[in-house]
Amino acid sequence: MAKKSSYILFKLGNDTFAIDVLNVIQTLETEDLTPLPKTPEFVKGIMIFRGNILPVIDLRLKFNIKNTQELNKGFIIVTKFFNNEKEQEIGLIVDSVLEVSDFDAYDIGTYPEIGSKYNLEFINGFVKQDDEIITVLNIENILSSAEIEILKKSTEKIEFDIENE
Amino acid sequence: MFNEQKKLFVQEVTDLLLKVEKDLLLLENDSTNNDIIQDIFRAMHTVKGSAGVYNLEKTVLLAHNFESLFENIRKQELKVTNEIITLTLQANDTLLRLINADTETIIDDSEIEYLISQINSIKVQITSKVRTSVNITNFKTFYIFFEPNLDIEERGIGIDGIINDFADFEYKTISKKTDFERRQKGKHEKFFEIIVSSTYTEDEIKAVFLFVPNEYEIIEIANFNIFEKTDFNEFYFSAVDIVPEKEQRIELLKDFCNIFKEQSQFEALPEEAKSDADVLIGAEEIEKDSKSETQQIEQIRVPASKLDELLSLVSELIINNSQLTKSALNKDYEKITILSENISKITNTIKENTLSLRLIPVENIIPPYKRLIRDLSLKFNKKIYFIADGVETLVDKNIIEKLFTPLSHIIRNAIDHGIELPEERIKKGKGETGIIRFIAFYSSTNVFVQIQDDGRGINPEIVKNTAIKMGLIKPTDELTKKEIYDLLFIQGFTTAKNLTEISGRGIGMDAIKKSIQDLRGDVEIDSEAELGTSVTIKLPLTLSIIESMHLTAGNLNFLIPISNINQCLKFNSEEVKEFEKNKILLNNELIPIINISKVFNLKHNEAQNNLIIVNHGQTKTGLLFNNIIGEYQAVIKNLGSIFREYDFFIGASILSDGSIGYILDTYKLINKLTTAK
Repeated sequence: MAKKSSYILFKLGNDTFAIDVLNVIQTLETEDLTPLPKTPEFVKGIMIFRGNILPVIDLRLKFNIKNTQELNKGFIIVTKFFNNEKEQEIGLIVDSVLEVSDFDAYDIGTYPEIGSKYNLEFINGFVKQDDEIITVLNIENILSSAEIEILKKSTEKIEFDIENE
Repeated sequence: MFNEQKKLFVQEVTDLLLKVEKDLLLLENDSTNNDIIQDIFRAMHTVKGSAGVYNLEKTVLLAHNFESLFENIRKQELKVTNEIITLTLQANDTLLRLINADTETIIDDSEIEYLISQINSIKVQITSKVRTSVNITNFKTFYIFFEPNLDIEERGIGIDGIINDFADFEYKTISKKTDFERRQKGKHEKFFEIIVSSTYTEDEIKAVFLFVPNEYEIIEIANFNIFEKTDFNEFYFSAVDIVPEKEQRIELLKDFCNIFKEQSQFEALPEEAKSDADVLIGAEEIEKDSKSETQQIEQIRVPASKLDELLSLVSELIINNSQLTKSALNKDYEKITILSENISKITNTIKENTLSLRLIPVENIIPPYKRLIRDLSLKFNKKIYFIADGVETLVDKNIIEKLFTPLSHIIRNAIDHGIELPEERIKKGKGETGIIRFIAFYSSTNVFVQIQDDGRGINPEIVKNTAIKMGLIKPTDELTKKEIYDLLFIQGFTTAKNLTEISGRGIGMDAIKKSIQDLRGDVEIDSEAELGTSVTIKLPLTLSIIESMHLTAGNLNFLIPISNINQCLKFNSEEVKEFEKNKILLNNELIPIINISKVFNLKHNEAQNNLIIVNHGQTKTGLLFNNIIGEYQAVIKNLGSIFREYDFFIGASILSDGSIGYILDTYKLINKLTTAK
């Protein structure tokens, strides 16, 4: 028997992506975010989610997608993943959330190595549904890559030129 | 259901066993204290009984043997020896492991058999050893007044003979006095006062005075050995001088003994600081690290009164809240204002109450350290006296838990590298027993925990030379003593091989620093060569709430801990000149100014005219903000692990209007800026 899993489908620009619902806590409409200084551009800031701080990153910026919509509109998918054995929650900004679909594990094909516009590390494979190619994302890899960039940025020295101020 | 019960059982038995451990360590110094012996006996009995309910055969078997050993001690067939303490501590550890394991098979049969055979061999030793020696705990102290008649010599009785009968007593005081008043009347009378502690009964002592039955008085003044408790002689002779009346003097002596009687009762209580272990040497080396490294406190005992108070506060809150809803419907703004004031008062009290629930005395972590010190001093053949001061200091439970490991490292270092061997100490003219002192105290909004030893100290020159060799500093660098000792915290500094021979701290000072900083604290070393070392840990009172000043810069809200703020100034135009150079002259001190909006690249349209002067170690720094909103009690929220390197933010907090404010760690921010330059 093939193993079925549920995936949440969403749009970034013109492309459709999917992530495993096991990684998803909730989807929200975009709220006002408080920017966090000295972070990479794709980090849009933080917000309060269920009484705690939720970091929010813009997947479109992380994927360098030139989107048609205004950058600040969109939806937030609140995801969770394990990082150093600790559960970490992160909000992902996407253009729109479509639906939840069930795929067979066997249906997920390997993504071609050549000609991919996205970093292959971020991708688990693809699924074809109604003549549309849906890219299944590897959320852990995306977020750990984001984390590395954030850490790199945070160790950058804060330039503070006393003389020219 | 069964699982819940089992959990409770494990918790209770664990508590009991930890208490037994504490008692055993107390007993080591106070080996005749019957109360402690009784406590241990009863605890083991309970452990045995309740383990039986859960069919924990191994636990029952070991606890039974443990209990019967203490039965012998209780009946005074057996004296508490160092060997017994070491063995029972070991057995206690095994019991703890048995109880906390999912299944008893985790412990090998051979371990339990070994422990039981050891217990039995002690019992055999003793039973063969004669059960004679009189009950040593049955000491009594008598006051004897002996006033021989003048014709005593004529009757052929030697006064010296009688007095000499007491010479063999180990604990005694004999005073010979001439009664001045009577001498004035022309009589040369003498009297003797004898205070003696022994296991003899009153009748046995009376036998000494067989031939002078009417010339003495005997009164029991204490049912223990007063000479062991204190320097009784000194007290007695001063009492004789001050209180000439015999009856009054007897009363005084009785009162004096009573003081110590009460003290000996207190000694049985665990709180008594008297328990500080003077660790004896000579017993076989025992297993190291028997104690797990993290001391998790899973349950907190809360006084019922506090819970009642909380409950009544909550019900008050509910009442106010329903009134508020009603008033809001009626749009009764006046009422709403009053109610909201009420509610904020109540929530404040609830907050303080809830926080105080988390505070527990540092005393909770002392017993494992006593054990650690005992074990390590046996291992290293060192004599160590452990003193704990300020154990009643209350600290957040989370902090106490996380403090356990760094403190064990510090204590380990002090024993391994600090305290010298007894011979070495004597050569240096120190007492052969080294002292490790644990001190906890409050200062402003911080708790300080200090570990002091009187060992060989750390020679700053050696530290400096090593740092030069490692290329951390240049030979020409002038460093203060504090800066030199701070070098010890640099990662990798301690791992170099040649460092083990420095008096220095062997393991992971950088790890200690890191874990203390994670608690938003700081750690400092101070040392005097040959006099000892002290490691001071500074910690916040609680981890979850911070008294702060709410400020704005650009479009962001910031919070600065009040404890960091030196003063708030309105930036005024007269100082423009200094300001342009990013310095301000304040009380003859040139203070650098950091514009927060610029540092964080924030849009700033408004005038930046609020200067917050913060303390940065010994110096001050000015931070420029747009507006000061006011004081705010910030509940700290973690930024999340992906932002863990943004350590110039302690975290964020939700402000009263629902927006987010960043809590600045000014110390780290300024450090980051100055190292960037």
